[in-house]
Amino acid sequence: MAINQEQITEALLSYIKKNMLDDAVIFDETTTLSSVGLDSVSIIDMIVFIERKYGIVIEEKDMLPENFHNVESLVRCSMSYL
Amino acid sequence: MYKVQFTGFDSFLFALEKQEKFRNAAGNTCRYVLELDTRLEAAELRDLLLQSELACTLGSFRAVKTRFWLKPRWQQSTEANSWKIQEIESDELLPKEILQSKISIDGTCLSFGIIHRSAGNSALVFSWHHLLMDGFGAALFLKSIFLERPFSEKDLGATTRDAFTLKHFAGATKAKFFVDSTSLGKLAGVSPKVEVDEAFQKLKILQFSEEESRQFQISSQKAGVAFGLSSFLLACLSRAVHQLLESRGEKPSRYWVPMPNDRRKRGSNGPIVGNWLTFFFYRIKATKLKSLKEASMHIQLQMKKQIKEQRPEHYNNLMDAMAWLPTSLYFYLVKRRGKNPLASFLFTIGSEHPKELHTLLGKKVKNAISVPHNTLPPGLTFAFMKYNNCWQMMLLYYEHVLSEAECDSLIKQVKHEIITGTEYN
Repeated sequence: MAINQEQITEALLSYIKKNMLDDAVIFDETTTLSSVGLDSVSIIDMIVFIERKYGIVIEEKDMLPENFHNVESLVRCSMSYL
Repeated sequence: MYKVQFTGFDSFLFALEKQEKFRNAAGNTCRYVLELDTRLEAAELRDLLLQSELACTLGSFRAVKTRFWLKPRWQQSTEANSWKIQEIESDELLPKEILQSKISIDGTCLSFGIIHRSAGNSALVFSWHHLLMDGFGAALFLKSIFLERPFSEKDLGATTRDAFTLKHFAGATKAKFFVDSTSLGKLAGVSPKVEVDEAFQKLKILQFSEEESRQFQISSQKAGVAFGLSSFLLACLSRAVHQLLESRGEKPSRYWVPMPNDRRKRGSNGPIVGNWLTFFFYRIKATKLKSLKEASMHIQLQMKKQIKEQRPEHYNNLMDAMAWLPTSLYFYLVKRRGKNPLASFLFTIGSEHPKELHTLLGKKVKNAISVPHNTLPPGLTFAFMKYNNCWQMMLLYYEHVLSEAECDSLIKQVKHEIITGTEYN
């Protein structure tokens, strides 16, 4: 079954909210990651989560700041591997 | 009466504190300095502290290990805290009287001081023992008392004991092998091997302007780092320390740097008590320090690998497991690795000063600086913190570890590499 962008977004948002953010933090796919205190460790954690869950490896050439601005950009980058 | 369990990292600090031979130099006292725009009266502050349930509760906490087979914990003392506030007239950021003073875990683990400046304003200095809380906990503590937030038992951390399972044990074992294997061999360090009777701590602050602070991200990306700053900053620092050791005629081959990582969820208001930290461990090869890009990538790859292999969680399991050990055995296990120091140097990035604390007791906060503890050895700590969109670097060292000239050249190189993203010289 093909995986669509919404499913990855939902899975990633749920992972971030459960493991990285306090319940009081308002967060969605357009929120800038750094604005809620998500740092390099959190971003690598998100990449590892996506790589494990969807069996992909995000290549070095895609490790660009524009791909890690928010959940939307990270999911868009991941979609190109599926 | 509250009884609060130690976190794994608390127990590590407790073992060091109880067993460290040179306690004068152990350096587990941390400070938070808030520079105010007007004068702060001690009586005003004392009144607030006496009314704060959180301050009074934490002021009454004493670290105890009642039986050698039991985990240490916090227990409330019945002694009332009168909040003696030290007042000093000085224009130095942190006068010697405060910088050299140490907080012992045998009494109250937190204290306040006021430095009155000749211009008529004051600086509030909050000092605490690292065992009681970490830097983020301290910012939360200040927020709680100055915003007069109602006291909650959740602020105190773990009042019940966590279960330790076989899975935790397996993680702890993996972490032990990882730490032992990454710290193998002779590690580079700035601290001389000679023992000193008394060590004098020094502090230098490197203040970056708003424009320079914007450069941090740009330089980091120039060095090939796609996100965050820690890999890039650690690369700059390692290169500067390496240069320093080479100028001393040494030929260091590898560095070992533990980097703390906060386990609290982002945006949380607690817990305040305890060190909710785990660590990444970087084994940095001198051969990878030739360029900023190579050094940053070398560190970033290690970070990704450690997250993938859940090393920080495993290390936390290890600290939880070791918390049960008698402090002498704990100390022996930590220190027995040859004659290596616990780290080549220490590096931490603190969270940004909370915006809600830009005024306190009606006074405007002009600047905030968090000064971490500086454990000896290694006796050299770099700490970064942001206030009002401006980065600042605190460099803590001991007089016998670094000379003034070495310190100045270290700062010069670090500043150049951070702001330009290019190699110095």
